[in-house]
Amino acid sequence: MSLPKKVLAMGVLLIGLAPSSAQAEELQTGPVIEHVIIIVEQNHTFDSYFGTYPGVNGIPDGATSILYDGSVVAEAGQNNLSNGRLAALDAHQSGAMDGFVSAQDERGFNGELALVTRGRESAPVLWDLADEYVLFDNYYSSAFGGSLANTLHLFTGDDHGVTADSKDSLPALRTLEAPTVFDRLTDAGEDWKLYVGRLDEIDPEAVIAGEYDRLDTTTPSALYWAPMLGMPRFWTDPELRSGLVDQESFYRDASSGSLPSVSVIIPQPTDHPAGAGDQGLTRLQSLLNAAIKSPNWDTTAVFVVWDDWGGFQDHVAPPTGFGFRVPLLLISPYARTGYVSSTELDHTSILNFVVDQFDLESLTANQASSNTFDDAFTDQPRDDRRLATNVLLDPTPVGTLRQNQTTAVLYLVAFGIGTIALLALWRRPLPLLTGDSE
Amino acid sequence: MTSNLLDDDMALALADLLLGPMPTQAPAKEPEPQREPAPEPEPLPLTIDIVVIPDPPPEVVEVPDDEFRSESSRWRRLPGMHGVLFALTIAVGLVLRVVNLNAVGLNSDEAVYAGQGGSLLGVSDLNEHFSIFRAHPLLLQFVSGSVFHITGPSDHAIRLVVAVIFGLGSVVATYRLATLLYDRSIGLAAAALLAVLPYHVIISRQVLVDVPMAFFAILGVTAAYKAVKVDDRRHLYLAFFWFALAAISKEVAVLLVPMLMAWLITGPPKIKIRRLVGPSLVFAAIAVPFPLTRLISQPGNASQFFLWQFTRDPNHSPDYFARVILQFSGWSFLGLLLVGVAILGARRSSADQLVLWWIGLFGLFFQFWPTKLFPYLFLILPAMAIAAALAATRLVDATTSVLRMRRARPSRALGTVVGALVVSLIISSGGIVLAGPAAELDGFGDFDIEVQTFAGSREFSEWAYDNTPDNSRFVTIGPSLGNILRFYGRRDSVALSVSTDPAKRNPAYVPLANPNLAMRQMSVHYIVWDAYSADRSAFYNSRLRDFARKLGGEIVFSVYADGERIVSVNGPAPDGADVRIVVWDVPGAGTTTGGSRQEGIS
Repeated sequence: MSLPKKVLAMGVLLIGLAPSSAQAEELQTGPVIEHVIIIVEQNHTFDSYFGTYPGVNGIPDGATSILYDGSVVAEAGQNNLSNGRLAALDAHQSGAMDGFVSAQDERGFNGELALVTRGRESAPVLWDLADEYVLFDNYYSSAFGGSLANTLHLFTGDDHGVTADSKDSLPALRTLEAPTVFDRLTDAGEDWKLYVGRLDEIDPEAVIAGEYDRLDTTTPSALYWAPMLGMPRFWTDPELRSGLVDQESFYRDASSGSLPSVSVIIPQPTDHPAGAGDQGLTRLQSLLNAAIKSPNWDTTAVFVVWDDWGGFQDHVAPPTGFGFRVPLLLISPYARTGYVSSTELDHTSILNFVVDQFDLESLTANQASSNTFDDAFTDQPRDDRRLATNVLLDPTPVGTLRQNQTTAVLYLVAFGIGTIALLALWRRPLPLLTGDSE
Repeated sequence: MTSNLLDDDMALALADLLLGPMPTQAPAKEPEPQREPAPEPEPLPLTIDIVVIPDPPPEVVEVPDDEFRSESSRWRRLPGMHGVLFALTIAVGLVLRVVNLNAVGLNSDEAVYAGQGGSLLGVSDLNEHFSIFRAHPLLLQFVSGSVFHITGPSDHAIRLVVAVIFGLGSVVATYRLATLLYDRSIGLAAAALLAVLPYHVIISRQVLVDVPMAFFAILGVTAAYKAVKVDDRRHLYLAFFWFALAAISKEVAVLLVPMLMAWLITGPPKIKIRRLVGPSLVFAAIAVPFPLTRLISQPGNASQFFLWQFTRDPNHSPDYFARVILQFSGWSFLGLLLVGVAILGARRSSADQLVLWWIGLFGLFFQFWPTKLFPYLFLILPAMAIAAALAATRLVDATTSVLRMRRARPSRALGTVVGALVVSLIISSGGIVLAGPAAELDGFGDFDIEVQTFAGSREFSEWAYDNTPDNSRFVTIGPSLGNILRFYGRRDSVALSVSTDPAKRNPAYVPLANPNLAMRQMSVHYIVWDAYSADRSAFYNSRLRDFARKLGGEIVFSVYADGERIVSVNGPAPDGADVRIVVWDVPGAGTTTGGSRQEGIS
């Protein structure tokens, strides 16, 4: 081969190997997440919401469960279950996973309620979200027990020895110096907000003074659901204090496209089984819709997570160090469609995601070593953008495309017949039809 | 001075000139039907009622009548000034119909027809937003869908097609009809009036079913008159073919058939009804599939539409159409029209009766039909223009017969009179055309005409398309804005004013039995207020704003106009500007936390 030909051949080869500008652009794209929203719901296991969802590690055949039809839930206040550490261990039965009913019965709760699972009929919004986005069926709470230990894992990467949801834990919370994800975000210059339902019911002075430790006071549940609220520095440090806002602010921020880098929402009503029926799910739907409607939506990832097991049964024995499985949904333009992820994850995985996304300093070894959500995202955003909506109102009636096209063809045929008849009769009018035959 | 000129003889001459020959005489410029010698040996009959007419070979009919022959040849070679004036008429008519055509987006009815077209022929995803079965048949929708197949769902493209082919086509067709009925001068005057009448200009710039209906009606009437005039029954087939196309444009055109029959019975030499059997079959073949497919595919919907149409409450006072004509055609035209109708009634020639039946039958029908909408008169406007042109001609003839003593030239006088009227109408039409979005504010408000859609509705809908989730649902004051939203924004909507009573509701719309609940349960996601609908319903205007306030709606879009044009889209309110559209994002689930107080649980 002559030199010029070699040069030419090399040139062609190089051109062929080099990515085109379009290819290069494609290579550079990927999930562009600038806003992370974490909605913290309450007290359900995976099986209690998605145990019968198709294609997941759900309730095995033959296992006892009660499909929720509304009749099990009697009166408000009678629906709660024990979700403490001891109840969890009793239910766990060293991995036998057969103590859920007795654990409740022994503590004076309705053990039958622990067997309840919801289906598409009773949790349509959640199931629709699972159809559209990503559902995780191997996601675990981070500790046996209730909210506080688990939310500490979620926001700090460890429970730091605080295992009980009781007033006994509040002093330790007040003096906890371990950094939270919000400290890390602040240090990194990333904005964040903790949107709390009924924030105005928390008295900062009472938190600072430890008044909620006293038995003669009622502790707002939000202190267990968002432990930062029980830390005085979040009320006294102006920078941290500015991040504590009521959940109504979320609607305004979402609507105006001014969502911070990280939003954590502790909604009210929440879907705690002791709460107000399905109002918690309605609130969740409302919050999700606000996020989906937001101008920030194109670069947003929403994690809807349930903090602890709530006393409900789950058939999967958790790996060592984890609590029972709880539901997790990922909703984002970059979330895969109708995908069930079985990657082993826990609350610290969400924390790890935030740390990784915003290049924060790691909080704990747990967090740093937790698995990630890589399989749940796609490189390209989806084309559609759909709200979690109720079908309580008939849509405007329309026909199907096939019906329309059939009608169109029928009309064209009719027009053709009429035209042909006209042309035929134009050339030779039929005497019988024209009245000229007699 | 004038009174001295009008002595008795002159008055008689004037009356004669105004009315033309009396009915007992042969109509002026309308010779008895006769045929030229043809290859057939039999002489052709003067009447067509009882004599069997042999099938003429096609070549015979090509030149059956002197006048028609001259008309058709005239068509090919318009002489001198007449041709120039005709060309000028068409040019002005074209300009008035296309300038600033798309300054404002489609209005509600236009959006429905355009959307149905896309739905019918599978353009884009319009089938997900528009049912093909609504109030009217689907010819225009077929045209829309066909155009969209080439251009995509383009509002400008379909408006151009309708304005030029059907709107301006009506002007040309009216010239041809009036020339056939009377003479070229009347044809030109009628075409000139129609070309510049604000009412005709306004409507033919819109994608409305009335426009093709009127176009095909003119063609049908022309063919029917030709069938009698040249004694060629084949034109009856053609007439019914055009009538069928008119009827599948808008169902009220079915009345063209009884109109024609009434004219055939009372007007020209009697004609056997049996002669209409064949043409009726052509009509039926084309027109029947619409009601048939509708009854088969959506029987419930069809009966509900029927119920709704026939139980609607009157929406306007009896003087509505008179005010429409006066407002959008002017005193001069109205005066000429009345004089023209009087002349037609006094003379009652065959051509006169056809024009009278056209105006009379449809005029009475529209007058007594409980629902009165702005475009209804469009169907009879060509006949009105012909009557007015006839009046103008006769008035000028009468006047110049007086002035002839002073060497006046009738043609120039006619041109001057009609020209002055046309120029004044051009100024009116031009003002409306150039005003664009502002036109509805300046005098249109009383007429509920929806001809200039509420400014900003297209911008709002396009914003919704770009910025709201695909399955978002909007609530509006009335359903009109929702139709525009569906076309441009591909978003569903419901309206507060839609009745929950099926008998009082357009079945195309979904009622909101409990709007508060629907919004709180997130079946509805945005609230839209528009100035146009707010002006029409103070009650629902108030309700809608209350919902936005109670549900904690956040304003996410707005349009402001200063009366002339849109001055701000989704920006701050400029000084002195009027707000036209506001959109609130409603979170649903209420703005209060609700539920029981939860303390001490985890």
